[in-house]
Amino acid sequence: MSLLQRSSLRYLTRHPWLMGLSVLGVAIGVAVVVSIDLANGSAQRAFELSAETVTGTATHQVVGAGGALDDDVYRRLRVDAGVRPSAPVVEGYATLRRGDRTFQVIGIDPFTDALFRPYLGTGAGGNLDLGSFMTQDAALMSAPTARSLGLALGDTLRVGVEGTEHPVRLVGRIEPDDERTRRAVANLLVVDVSTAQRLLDMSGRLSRIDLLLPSDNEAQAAALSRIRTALPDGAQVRRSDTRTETVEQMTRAFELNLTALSLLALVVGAFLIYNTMTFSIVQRRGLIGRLRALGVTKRQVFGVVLGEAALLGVVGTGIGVLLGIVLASGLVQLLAQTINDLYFVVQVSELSISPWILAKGALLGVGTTLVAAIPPAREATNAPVSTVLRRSTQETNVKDLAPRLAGAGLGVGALGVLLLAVTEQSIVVSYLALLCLLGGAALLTPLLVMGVASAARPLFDRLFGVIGRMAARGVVTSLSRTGVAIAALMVAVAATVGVGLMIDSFRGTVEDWLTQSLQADV
Amino acid sequence: MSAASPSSESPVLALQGITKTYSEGPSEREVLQDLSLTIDRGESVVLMGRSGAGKSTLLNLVSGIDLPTSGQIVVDGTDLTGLSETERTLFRRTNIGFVFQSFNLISTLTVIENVLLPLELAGASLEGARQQAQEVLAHVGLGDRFDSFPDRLSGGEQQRVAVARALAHDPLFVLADEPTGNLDYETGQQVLALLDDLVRETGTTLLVATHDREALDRADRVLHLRGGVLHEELPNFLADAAGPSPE
Repeated sequence: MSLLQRSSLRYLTRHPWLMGLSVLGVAIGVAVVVSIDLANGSAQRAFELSAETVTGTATHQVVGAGGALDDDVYRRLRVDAGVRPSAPVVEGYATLRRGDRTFQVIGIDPFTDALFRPYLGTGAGGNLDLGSFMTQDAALMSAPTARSLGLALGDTLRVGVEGTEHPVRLVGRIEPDDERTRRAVANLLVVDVSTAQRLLDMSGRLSRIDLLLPSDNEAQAAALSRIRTALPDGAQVRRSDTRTETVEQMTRAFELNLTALSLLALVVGAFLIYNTMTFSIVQRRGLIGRLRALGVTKRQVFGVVLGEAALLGVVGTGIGVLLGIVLASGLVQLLAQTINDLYFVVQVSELSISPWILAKGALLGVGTTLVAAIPPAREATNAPVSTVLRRSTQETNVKDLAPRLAGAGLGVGALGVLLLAVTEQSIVVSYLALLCLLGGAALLTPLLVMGVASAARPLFDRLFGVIGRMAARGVVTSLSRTGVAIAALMVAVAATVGVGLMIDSFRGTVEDWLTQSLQADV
Repeated sequence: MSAASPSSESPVLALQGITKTYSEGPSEREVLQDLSLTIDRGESVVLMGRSGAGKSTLLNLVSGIDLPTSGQIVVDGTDLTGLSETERTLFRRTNIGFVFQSFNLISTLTVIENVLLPLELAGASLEGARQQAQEVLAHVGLGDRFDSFPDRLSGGEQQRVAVARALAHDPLFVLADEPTGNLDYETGQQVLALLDDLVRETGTTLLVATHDREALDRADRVLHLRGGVLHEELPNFLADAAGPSPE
């Protein structure tokens, strides 16, 4: 380790509060980003797993116009159109009183289903007692889930669907072969089609019909043509992965909202880094001047400052990633609940810790820290050695710069307004516009601080005398730091107000929709 | 440290028509006016003048920290005014040693590390540098304080470390800016004596800016900055030989 690096490291360890504040800034920013990403990813993964499991090997699905099909359509398909690899499915959601868990109820025909969902054990090689399964109100459940709920074969479960409770008997357990299947079937309650129709109040109706069509294009086209002629009006055949795509589209905006707001947390962290790094540079102007006089080049000083930032960034990011995982485990349930309330039912029993998300969080943390440290590092190297010993130089620079910064802020803010006016539909552009508005406001902050401090000085003078006057003047004389601290606070408040408004607006939309729906029903 | 080898070859420093002007708001202040000076290798020169006379400005120019508004600064054949900022920094690294009024040691480095710093910057090997730093520290009487941090030393000890640091890498020049300004009289004299002994021993050229008239006793030449213009005075030993001044 060179003497310059050693000196820099000793400076950091001699200023633990300064270092702690920087690390905290990065850690909180990274933790929020990672936790929201992990929670989003886990909910998404849980949905995909659930969708893939329930879809099984089906290549296509027949669905009705209102989300349900008459069960006669299945007979017409199999008998009239001769589409043999097909299976009826009735699906919905139910709450199990024990453990207060939401389960996905899937009603199947055990004779035709084995081809589509072999892991359920309904096929020839399975150990399921079909006689028991096909009796009324019989159900299968994942063996690990049954164990965790303390359920044994023959136990009666109380299953609630839309406020009505139904007794269901556990007649079999699904033994998952692998981890993926274990997670996928963890919240699945498998019943016979007729039981599902009764539980879900879908008498004589099916949710969909799963199909296994040939992969050969010509044969598939012929089969599709035969199927379409057998379908009633409003029913349609679609690829089985279309459903997952539709749901992903539904939740994409919601996830983007959360991600963008989590990035704001990182922006606040960046302000904190900038502020503490600037403070440390201002405090060391004399030291930097001495080093430069001894022959340390600008590049070496720049490298030392960035090295310090990198160290703080790495430590903060490490803590942030760990904190993010802990936060995510709590957040994922809240997120799942919100998705359940707003979009569809998803049960997230486990956190999916994706290395990609962790790597992204780490990269963002270290990258943001380095970017935030560039201006103070440049400031440290650009001041002439002969004047660098004077601390007030930097503050004079910022005061001189304030009008220009404010001008740039107005420009960036105007760009944000323009973007918002031009594109209302693209959420990404909208967020970019909001970022411009926030950046513009942050650039305006130094000039506003100078104005407010100048206006407040007589009042402070009258209220607190000399001390008050000094305080008002002190805000302006330390503008390079106070300006940034105020801007960081502004971004944090803006983020909080933004989240509050977003939640209120979601709530308002749902309330409006409910009011309109109820009036229509009445 | 190399052996003393004063020579009368070409001057180690040649200033030609140096002017330095500072902007102060709308007006400009000329600190140095058309100043010319040559200093020979191994000479010990004292620069006198009132506060604000431009002594520190002149030292900053000679070290390449600052550039003149006009004129030429040639140090050991190198025209500093023709060098880039980085080139001047690298030039300073190997050719100049500094002693400041407020010691200006690096507070986060130990005594020996402070002395090692210019050696490391000059690219000296770690082992050789360490031995050299230990020798020079022992020479200034701090052989037992290698691992102390500067804030544990007295003012006089800190200035002795600064002297050791200035000379450790065998610079061409030692520039001292008010080296006794922050010291009591006795300690100040000790530091001046130490500095004088060391530069003479190593044949290093010394330029000291000071108010301290005691420094004149040790000087080969005395320069006085008045109104931005240099005036050469007789050093004490020659003045004494010439008899009492008419004043």
